[in-house]
Amino acid sequence: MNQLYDIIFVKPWPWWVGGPLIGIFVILLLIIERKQLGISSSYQYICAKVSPWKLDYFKEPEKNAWQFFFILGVIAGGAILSFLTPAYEIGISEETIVTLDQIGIHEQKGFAPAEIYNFSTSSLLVIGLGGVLLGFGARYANGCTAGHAIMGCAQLAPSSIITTIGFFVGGLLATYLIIPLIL
Amino acid sequence: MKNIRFIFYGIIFSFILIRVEAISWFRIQEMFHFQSFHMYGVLLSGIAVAMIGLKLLNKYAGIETKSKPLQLPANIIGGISFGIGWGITGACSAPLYSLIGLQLWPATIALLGALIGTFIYAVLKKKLPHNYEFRNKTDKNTSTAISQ
Repeated sequence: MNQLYDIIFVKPWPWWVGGPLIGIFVILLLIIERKQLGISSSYQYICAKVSPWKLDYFKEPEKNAWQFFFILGVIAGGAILSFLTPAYEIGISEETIVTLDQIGIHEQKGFAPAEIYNFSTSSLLVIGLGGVLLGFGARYANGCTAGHAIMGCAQLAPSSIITTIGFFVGGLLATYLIIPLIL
Repeated sequence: MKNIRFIFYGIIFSFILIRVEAISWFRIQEMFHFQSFHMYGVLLSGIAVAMIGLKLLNKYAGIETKSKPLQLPANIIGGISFGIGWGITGACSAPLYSLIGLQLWPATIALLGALIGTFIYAVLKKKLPHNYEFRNKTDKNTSTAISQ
């Protein structure tokens, strides 16, 4: 029983469990709800609801309302798991541990490094700016990892394949040029 | 309140992402350093299963999906901008929400940033090149070329 609990809640899942489950999730969402997986339209919905200005982009927020409830669930899912998984095991490769140690990230535990995810002014500025690029880019490209990289690439949509390449170009720029600079 | 059921879907999706570590800053770094197949496996197997499912749904249930329109400048510039944000925060849109649920509170600042980024896009939208403006420009160029 304990072993089963460990497999489901504590030990990191291998990619061949989580990846296919994401694919199955996409299909079930389509069959049951006729919704195409997407997350970043929730930004549009939240902004439309709180915006003091009337902007064209914020017209008709209700078509994205389901994504808002979806992300409430994503937050709730994190909260629930934080209670079910008290001792979290990290599963990255030895090579990455060495690489990260060399650039100044010394403790590999939890979900994000304390060197970047903390409340110092400089860290908050870096994370905040990263968030701005994330939100701006997702809306400009008309989708994020969910809508473009998973759903869109599964459709073999040219827009999604090009955007996904863009995601990786940006990610490599951040990894090799920006992360070493901010640490 | 017909949308409340989507909270349930979100919990399931979050559960999968967290357990396969797609929300881990370390995993994302590992991916961009090409030091493990893990994240590539997650993405590629997810896409492959979804792709087969979509084909079957289309063939046997007649369910069709809409592809996002090709907007070259938007896809490329927006994609790179998103990618930089992904690389720095180690989280894309859904994982960002998961991290907040996991009480990694600095992630709320990243979300706040993402909402500010959305506002910036909303304000600049008309001035930014999207596909159709791009096409109009080339149309204009060809028409002047012809008239010359």
